[in-house]
Amino acid sequence: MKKLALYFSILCLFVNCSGNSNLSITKEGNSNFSKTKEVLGYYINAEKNIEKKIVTTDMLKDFNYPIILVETDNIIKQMLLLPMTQRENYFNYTSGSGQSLTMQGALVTKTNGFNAYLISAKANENSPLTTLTKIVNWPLEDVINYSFITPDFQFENIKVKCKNKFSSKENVLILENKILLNKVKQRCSSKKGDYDNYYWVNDDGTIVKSEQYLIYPKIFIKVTKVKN
Amino acid sequence: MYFTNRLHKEIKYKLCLLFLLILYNHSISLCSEITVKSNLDGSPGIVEVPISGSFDDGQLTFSSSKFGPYLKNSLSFQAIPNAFIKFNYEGMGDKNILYYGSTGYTTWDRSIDLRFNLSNEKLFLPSLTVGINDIAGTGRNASEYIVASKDFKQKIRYTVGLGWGRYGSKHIIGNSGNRVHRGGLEGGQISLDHLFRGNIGVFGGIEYKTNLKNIILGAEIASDNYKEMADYTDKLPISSINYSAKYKISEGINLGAYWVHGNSAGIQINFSANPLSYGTGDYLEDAPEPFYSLPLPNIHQNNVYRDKLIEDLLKYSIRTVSYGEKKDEAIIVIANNHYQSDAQSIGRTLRALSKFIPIDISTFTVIISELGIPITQISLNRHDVSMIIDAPNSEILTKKITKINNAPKQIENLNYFNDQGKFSWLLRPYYRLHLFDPNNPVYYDFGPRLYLNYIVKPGFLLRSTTEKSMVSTFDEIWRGEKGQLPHVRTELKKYLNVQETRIRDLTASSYYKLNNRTYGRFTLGYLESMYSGLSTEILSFNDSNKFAIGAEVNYVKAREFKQLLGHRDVKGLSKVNGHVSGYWDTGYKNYFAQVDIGQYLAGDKGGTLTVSRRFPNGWNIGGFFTLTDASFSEFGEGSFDKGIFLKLPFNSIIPYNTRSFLYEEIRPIQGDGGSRVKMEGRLYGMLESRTKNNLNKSWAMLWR
Repeated sequence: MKKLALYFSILCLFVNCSGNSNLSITKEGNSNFSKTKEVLGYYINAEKNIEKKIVTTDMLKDFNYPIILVETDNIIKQMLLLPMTQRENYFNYTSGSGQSLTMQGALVTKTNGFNAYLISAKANENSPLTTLTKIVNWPLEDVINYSFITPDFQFENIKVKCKNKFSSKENVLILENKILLNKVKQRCSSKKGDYDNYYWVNDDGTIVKSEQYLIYPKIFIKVTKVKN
Repeated sequence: MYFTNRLHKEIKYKLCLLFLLILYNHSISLCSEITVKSNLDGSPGIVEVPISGSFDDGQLTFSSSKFGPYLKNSLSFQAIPNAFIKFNYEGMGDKNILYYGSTGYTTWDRSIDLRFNLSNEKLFLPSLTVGINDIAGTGRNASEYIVASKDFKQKIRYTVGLGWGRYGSKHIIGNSGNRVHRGGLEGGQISLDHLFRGNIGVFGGIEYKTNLKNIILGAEIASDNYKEMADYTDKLPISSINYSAKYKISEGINLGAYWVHGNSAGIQINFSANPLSYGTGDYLEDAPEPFYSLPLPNIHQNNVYRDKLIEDLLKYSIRTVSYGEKKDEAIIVIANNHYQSDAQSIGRTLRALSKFIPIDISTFTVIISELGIPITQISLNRHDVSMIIDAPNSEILTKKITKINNAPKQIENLNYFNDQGKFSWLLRPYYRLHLFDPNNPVYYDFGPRLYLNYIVKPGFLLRSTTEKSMVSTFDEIWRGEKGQLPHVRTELKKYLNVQETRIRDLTASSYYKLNNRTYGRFTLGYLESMYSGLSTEILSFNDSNKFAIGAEVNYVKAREFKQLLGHRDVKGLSKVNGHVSGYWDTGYKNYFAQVDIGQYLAGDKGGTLTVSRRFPNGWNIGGFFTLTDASFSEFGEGSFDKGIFLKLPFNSIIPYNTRSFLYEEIRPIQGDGGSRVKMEGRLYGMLESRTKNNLNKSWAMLWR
């Protein structure tokens, strides 16, 4: 339906509409046409299995910043993000392709450009996702309150209750290096359904890699710290 | 005869059994997995009979179905959770008379249907809905019903109902008085005398959700004998039992296949969208930079930062109208023609200010403007923002530290950036449709349209729109003058027939602000395709911006048919016309009401009521009607002016921001009564979306 709506809207842009159309010939030239081409490209490729690029240590050696690698199951498949600001435990990351997200520890609290419309996430005060907690001291339960923006620009609050379960130790490939990490399975329940998040944590509690839903069941995100 | 009576008794018995099943259904589930689907009419239903229940609040559905000698098109809106309204346009019949030769259908009909949910389904009780079909039309489809539906184990839904009018023409179980024949010569009148009177028919049906994904099967016993259609077709029902299979292709597209009347196959397609839940996302919109606690270093010498700020805002498609500083406050006036939400444009402006403005300036004031006129301003302390910007619910926290006010009439000591956006032009294809002529239900017109805008100074605008038909059947439109009023609109066809280059409008407009809440407009020129002249308007909001009152006075002359610079005389035209208008944001589900009272172009005096649901994301769905001292017979066919309109913002279906939209107004019949000048740039339509009332509605978008 969304594809059809897009094609319809492009048809409509060619016909009668008001405001500043994106497909009209204006004094700004034809930059809007390339934008439209880009849109169509994303849509056409959205359901294809695009081969992901392999990121190596060598590729990142010239960057003197912490870097995270983010992969999603949505339109934008893979990106590297750099921190732009840090206030207390909040980091604002931005990608070169125009996405941004805010993280508090390992918890993604805000997103832009991910189709998730996440504007707020608040975990329990002693949550190991936001506060460095040795793996042996991880609490069994956590509660996260998410806020999203609905398509009609209103707030939607979703409360998620999660149970943490230490799963096993396993070797995780970070860039080309295998690192032995603790795997924690987080079973979460919300009004939208039940789902699992996973965290790979070293013994001091640093979450090196996570796989978490930004909004269940729509957008799943993998975050890996590839450079500290 | 004996057999027929026995059959009727059997059907009645089965329907009663069905009803009992509904009442004593012991399903413990209160939520249904059988979603409510459209029937052939586009209402919630099985095949022809309606079911109880409703679509999701806000759902807009276009439905088209074809069966036997009928083509049914409808546009429906679930106006509130318990009320549903539908506009129908149907071709009917296959007798080779009237319009059959030119359209393939004997006649065409427009009508409006209403439904109200009286109660929702409860543990032992079914949901209950009452409906009225063809409340304002010719009366060909006039019928009323009360219907109950109940789910069983989320797999089966039973429905039984009582019908009057067409729904009371078969399986009759009683009578509730004499039914007055619905309709009149002029059509289009709302009639209440006949409602729920006459024979009472009983109908019912069952739907079953199969294990095959998304397919719902249905069977029903209908109570419409189609005798009303005997003038138009010989293909009348031979059975009252109908069958359906419905398949959900995607969230917004449904297909239906039917076996109807024992002699016809049918097919239907529905397209639906819901402004409350439909959105493509904004993943192609560049994410904003963070809000900086400290501005960038080394850019504050020689005031370079101001240029950087303006440049940065342009990257966000925000135009700086003016900028200035006083004491510790930075004031910026912006023009947002990109983001659907002004809150979002303010958020992005605040981020840019935090990046460039020297740290000793602690207060940021952002003013939203339209044509350079300041409308609404917000002020906050940058240091307070940097403390909460990353925190959970930062939008709500920001609201608490923000002052939102109507912008002052004049702001001192600002630098006006004259060059940005002063002149703009746009060449764009256009389309026009002319609907509902039974000889040819759709006329079309496509071509290029050129817009020229020149903002001479803030509030003073020169604009023109020129167009030319390229692919068009508008020259074939032949229906014209009617009724007994001065022909101020029904000569429209002589304008529409013109396919050469024409000037749609050419005006000079001055917009001004009298005080914080009161605005004025003066427009001179070719106001619309049919009229030119002078128009002046004043509009005043109350402090909350939820109420506004305005007045408009026009002096007009009719333009020549060619729509160039000449004029012509229209006998009886009220050259001086105008209205006093009241506007109210009801605060209920984004409903707005507008009342205009005054003198119309044909000299008739009266009022127009417009009710619309304006969603914060730009969708706008509504309707209007006008009653004046002109009688229904003076007005002619349609009896009085009425219509519906729909604004579809592209923002919802394109993955980046735009304020572009598609607007369609559907007037079943164009008459001369109740007609106003159709000019662009009226104050309320232009300013309302920029007010603080509207800003509050989309505040969640602030930091997007």
